[in-house]
Order: sequence, then C-alpha cells, then structure tokens
Amino acid sequence: MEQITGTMLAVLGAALAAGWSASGSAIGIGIAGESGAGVMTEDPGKFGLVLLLQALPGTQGIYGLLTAFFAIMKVGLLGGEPVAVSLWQGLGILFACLPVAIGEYTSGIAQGKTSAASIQMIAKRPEEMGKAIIMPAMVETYAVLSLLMSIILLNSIKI
Amino acid sequence: MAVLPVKKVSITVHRSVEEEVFGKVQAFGRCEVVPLVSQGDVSHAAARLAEVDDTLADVRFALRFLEPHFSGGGGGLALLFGDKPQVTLPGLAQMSHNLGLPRIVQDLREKERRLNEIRTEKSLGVSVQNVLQHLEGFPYPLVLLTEGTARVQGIFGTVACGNMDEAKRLLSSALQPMGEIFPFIPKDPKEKEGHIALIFPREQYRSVEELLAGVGFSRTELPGVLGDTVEEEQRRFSARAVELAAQEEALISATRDLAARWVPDLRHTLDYLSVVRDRRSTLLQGMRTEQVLMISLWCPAPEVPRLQKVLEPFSQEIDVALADPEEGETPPTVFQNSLWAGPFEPLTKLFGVPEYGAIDPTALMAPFFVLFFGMCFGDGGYGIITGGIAFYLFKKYRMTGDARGYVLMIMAGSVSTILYGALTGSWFGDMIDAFPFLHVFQPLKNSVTIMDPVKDPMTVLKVSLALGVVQIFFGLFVALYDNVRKGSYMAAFSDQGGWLVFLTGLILLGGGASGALPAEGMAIYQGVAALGALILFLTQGREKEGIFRKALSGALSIYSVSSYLGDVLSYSRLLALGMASAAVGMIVNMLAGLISDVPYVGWLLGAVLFVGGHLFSIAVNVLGAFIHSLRLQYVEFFSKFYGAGGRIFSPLRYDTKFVAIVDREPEGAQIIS
Repeated sequence: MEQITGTMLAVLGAALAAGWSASGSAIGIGIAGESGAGVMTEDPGKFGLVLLLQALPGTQGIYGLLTAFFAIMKVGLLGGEPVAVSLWQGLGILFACLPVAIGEYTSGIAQGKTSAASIQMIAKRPEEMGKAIIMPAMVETYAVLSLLMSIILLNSIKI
Repeated sequence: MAVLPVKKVSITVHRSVEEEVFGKVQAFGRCEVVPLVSQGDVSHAAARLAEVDDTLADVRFALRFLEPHFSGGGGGLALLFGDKPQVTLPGLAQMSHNLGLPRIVQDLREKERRLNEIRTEKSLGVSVQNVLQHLEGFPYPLVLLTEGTARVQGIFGTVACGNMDEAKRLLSSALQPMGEIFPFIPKDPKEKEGHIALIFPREQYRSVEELLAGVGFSRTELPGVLGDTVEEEQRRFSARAVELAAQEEALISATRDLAARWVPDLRHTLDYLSVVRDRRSTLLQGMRTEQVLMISLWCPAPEVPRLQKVLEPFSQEIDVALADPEEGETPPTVFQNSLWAGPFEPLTKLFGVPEYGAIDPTALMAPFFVLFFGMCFGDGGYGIITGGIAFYLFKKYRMTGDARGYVLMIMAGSVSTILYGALTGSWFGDMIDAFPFLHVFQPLKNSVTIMDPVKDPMTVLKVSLALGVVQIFFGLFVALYDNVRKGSYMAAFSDQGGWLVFLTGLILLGGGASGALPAEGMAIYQGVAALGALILFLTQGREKEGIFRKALSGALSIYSVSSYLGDVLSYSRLLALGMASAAVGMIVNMLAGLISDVPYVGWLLGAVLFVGGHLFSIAVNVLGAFIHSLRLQYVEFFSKFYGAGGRIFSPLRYDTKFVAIVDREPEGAQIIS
C-alpha cells in the first residue's frame, strides 16, 4: 500500500508539473496570439515575426513535460519495470515537481504579456525585432531556473 | 576591438562636374555625407532631384499597379539572403533608358482608369438591379417614374410596412380617380420597409407630397437612364453586367501579361532611379556658391587614400581637405572586425552600435556566443542538421549583409553544438543507446563522452557557472582596459580593480570552505576579500559630497555583490537548455521505441514520430539556444563595459533592392534588356 501511495505521489507531481506548465504556456500564447491577430489585421505580412514572438511562451509547457517525464521515469512507469517507491520518496518527487508547476505557470503568463507588448512594438518598428525577442526572453530566465531546481531536486532523490 | 577612426573629407567641386564626382563617390560607397542645411542657390539641384522624383513616382505607380498581378519568380529566398542579379550601372541606365517608361505608364494609367470606370459602372448596375427588384410587377415604362410625361408624373420610395395600409388608403382617396398606386410589400416578413410607386396628374404634386410626408415616405431617386419596363430594364442591366465582367476579365488578363513583361524591368529601373535619387539628394546637402559646391563626408581613415585615388581624375575641378572629427561632432561608427568576427556584427547592431571611439564588443563576444549556443543547443545530431542546412544555403546563395552573418553564425554554432554533443554523448538524444541496432556505435560515442547533463547535472552546472565567472571577469577586465585607455585610472582601479579583488577573494573563500582549495590558505583568502571590500568602501562614494555620504555609498556598493551572484547564476541556463535538448530528444526516442511495438505498422509510426519529434525539438531548441546565448551577452556581459549609443555608418552607395551593381559585367551573365 505504501509503495503504491509513493508511486501515486510521484505521478501527482508529474501531473502537476505537466498540467500547470501547459496551462501557463496556453494562457501566455493565447495572450500573445490575441495581440498578434490585432497587429495582423493591419499588416498580414508580419505573420512570421508575430508567430515567432507568439511561440516564445511555449517553452514553459515543454519544461513541464520534461519534468513530468523525469518524474515518472524515476519511478519506472515509463519504459521499464516499476520500482519500489516509499511514501517519503514519493512525497519528495512531488515536492521536487513544484518549482516547475508554479514557476512555469506564472512565467508562462508573464512571458505571454511581454510577448504581446513586443508584438505591438514590432507593429510600429519591425526593425527592432532583436529587442522585441530579448524582452520576453528575460522572463524565461525564471522558467529556466524553476526547471533547473526541479531537475536538481529530482536528481537528488535516491530510489 | 575598437571601431575604425574616420576622417572628415571636405570636397569643394566645380558645379560642372558635381554630379560626376559624387557618382564616383557613390560607386566607391565608403563615404557618409555630413548633413548640412543647404545654403546658396539650390534651385538647379532641387529641380534635378524633382525630375528623378517624378520618374520614381511613375515607376512606383506602375509597380503598385502591376505587382498584384505578377506571379513570376521574384527569387524570394534569394532576395532574402541578399543574392541579387549582378548588373553594371551603365547597363542598368541603358536598360532604364530603353524601357520607354512614359509609354508604359501612360498605358497603365489608361488601364487603371478603364478598370475604375468598369468597376464604378458595375457597382452602379448592382444598385440599380436592387431597386428594380422592388419594382417587379410595375406595368408601365419606368419613364413615368423618372421623367413623367407632359401631364402625368410619378414618384417612387419607401414606407414603413406598418404605415403601408394607411398610406394606401389616404392616397387612393386623394387621387381617385385620376392616379394609380402600386404598393410593393416585401416577401420577407423581417423586412421593415415596403416600397410604393405612384402616378398622378402633375397638378396634384403638392397635395401628394404633403400626404406622403404624413406617412413617413422617403423618396428613392431612380437613375434617369431607366425608361423601359422593369423586365426590359432588368434584362438590359443583366446583359451589361455580363459584358462588363468580360471586359474586366480581359483587362486583368492583359495586365497580367504586362506584369510578366514589365515587372522585372521596372524593379530594376526602380533600383536605378533610387541610386540616382540618392546621388542627387546628396548634392542638396552642401554649401553652394555661384561656381562651386562644398560637401563634407565622413570616410574611414584607412580608406581615404582610395578615395583620393577615385577623385584623382578631377584634380583640376576639385579641392579636397582632410580633418579629424572635432569635439561636439558625432562621426558615424564603422565596424572594424576581422574575417571571423565580422559575421557577428548583426548581434552588436541588434543591441546598439558602439559610440565613435568606443570599444566594439563584437569580437569579444563572438567566441562566448558560439560556445554558449553549442551548450544550449547541446546535441550532436541537431548540430549536424542545422549546420548542414546553413551550409547548403550558404553554398546555394551568394549571400550579403546581415543574412550572411546569421547563416555563418548558425554554422559556427552548429560546429560548437556537434562538439558539445560529442562531449556529452548526445546524438539525437540518446538515440545510440535507445535503439539496439545502433549499439555498435556505443564504444565510439562513449570514448569521447566526458559528462552527461541528464545523468549528472551537477558537473555540467559547475562548468556552466564557471564559464559565467570567466565571462564576467573578462567583462570587468575589458572595462578596466577601456578606463586605462581613456586615462581614467581612478575608475579602473576602484570600479573594476576593487570588484576584481573582492570577487576573487569571495571565490577563494568559497573554494576554501568547500574544500576545493587548501583550508590553510583561509587567512589569505579572507585577506584578499577584505582588501577588495576595503577598496570598494573607500572609493565607491567618491562622487558624493561629505564624509558621511561617501562612507554610506561605499558601504552600500558592497551589496552589489548580489547582482554579480545573480549574473553568475544566470549562466545555469547553459545546463538547463542543453539538458532540455538532450532530454526532449530522449523522450522522442522513447516514444518512438514504444510506438514501434504496434503490430505491422509500428516501424512506420515509430519512424514518423522519430523524424517529426526531432524536427520539432530542433525548431524549439535552436530558437531557445540563440535567444539565451544572446541574452547572456547582452545582459550579463555587455553590462560590464558596453554602452552602445553610437550611430551606424550609412555611406552614400548603391542602395538597391533587386539588383547588385558591380563594376564589371560578370562573365557569362546575360545583359538585362
């Protein structure tokens, strides 16, 4: 029973990591997309630039997916035999997933807003594309740091 | 490392050869005109400019009209990469001259006018047909409603459906027995308005008008051309609509043929005229007297001798004076980078051009950028793919400008990616380990693998942070060098020296505490850190007034250590992104492996998932790798020593969109007719 609980806690961690990250990216890309559609009504030729900026908050979802895979691989649910996971180990994996679950959700939304603002910027000044990309990338730093912490924590849990 | 020095070249030229001289300067293409509000009598030069502006307007009109109908090979990708057909200026001039532009433009204006007429008539026809629809069933010729006869007059308009019965009643009692009323009640019950047509004796017009005003009637003017019966008119307008559509189609098809015939030539003419326009507008930016024109140019110092050679044939008509930039002038920034660093200039331009005389960070940043790109992209297989694509594009197109720089950057980054992928054993994720038939490569792969970010992230994290320390220290050294170069010894000693000593002390302390350095040296480490802190405490408040403020600023400055810590931690993204590439690749392989167990079609699904998944991973990760390695340069590295604030050199040259102007016709090239 305890082993099943441990495994299930790990699964919960993976689910939170993937689910919240995907939500953050979805909201972020949605916000950027609304702004992009507005800009393209004026100038459909900016599709390429707009799409690039809109895609930026998409990485959070990937980081979440990555963490979720790491978590379930750790307990042997993917491509291998399930391993015995104690309650404490399972809880540890759940906690380790939290930086990603929280950080990716929030940063996805924040990055989406910055992307939307950047899209407005290139509507007026397409030559400033470089700066427009760097600003949302500043937000992504914290998505990367969350991922890093989750991976280090997952790595430090010995099973 | 530094930008090129420039000279101010003042040219005084006799007006008889001014256009010729600046034509040569434009062909030379390495001189920027110093803008000057034109002085003296410029009417002749202004007229010459207006002349080319008029022709340019014609060409732009022709292109605006024809381009929507042009489907010929614009060489989209080639143009994007700056690969343009090569022509000589005389060849281009000859072509433009022989083009017969006035005739083409006249023809096109005529076509445009005709198209507009057709479209106006078409829309008029549609609105008349709409009106006629409401009159279906009116038995008399419509002339009764439009003009009337000597004694009878007609009127047509709309009435709200609710008032229709009231209107009918009032009118029939008023007109009896001399008039006729034709109410047209709409078939669709949702329609709110019905139509009504009346004919009545002319003398009753006033009373009818009053009656109609009472029921909210609003008159619809019928076009005067309507004379026959409704059916007849409908037939006539339908036939006309078909005729107009055919005419429009024929005109558009003719325009399409014209577009195919003229658009390429017109585009080249546009380029030619832009070149002429640039030259002539230059002639307005100088001082004029009756006989001479004086214009100043910025020219990179090493190229001045070449400029003088270019101007040699005019030694009788011109006078050239050289000077260094004076205080208060803002000379343009000319990059001076070796062959290997040149392609990275677009990245510096993206951030902002260095000020004249300041340090150009391009060459300092380039090696770090390439290294970090490799670490963030992090997979040998992906590096081969992107490097291959970049190499193919580079070979296929004769690239110029920033596009060439970006492609070369991707190529360099791909090489670094392949090397980093080899060191970390990542080839399309863990492809070699994941698929049994590739196990033969395992020994080869493992022989060069020294670390694995997925299995042992801590080692790679340490390497990443260490690289961060290296780059930040390097940035501080550059700033120190810059201050020494400028003679700001105090700033060099305190702002950079203080931090270098203090940070070194902290690193030594950290090393001692973690056991990486001998613990016996702790006293020395502490001493170094304390010395650094003391320098900062004593110097960072030097701009402030009063001993107290100086001390406070000095003490507070030490807190900036947290920003250095943040900067170093920021380099952890090198691990995170590299690991993300490797791990996404690994997941793709795992899913492909799982799905290939499906009976019969599994291998196919697996192959599709493998290819699609890795392509997706490449697309996402190459973007991330580029942006994040760039960000480390801009935010962490540039902040230590670089301020941008310059103005890019924009010389008078052949600035063209569709052709590249060369000195000599390339061998075997066709002369554009």
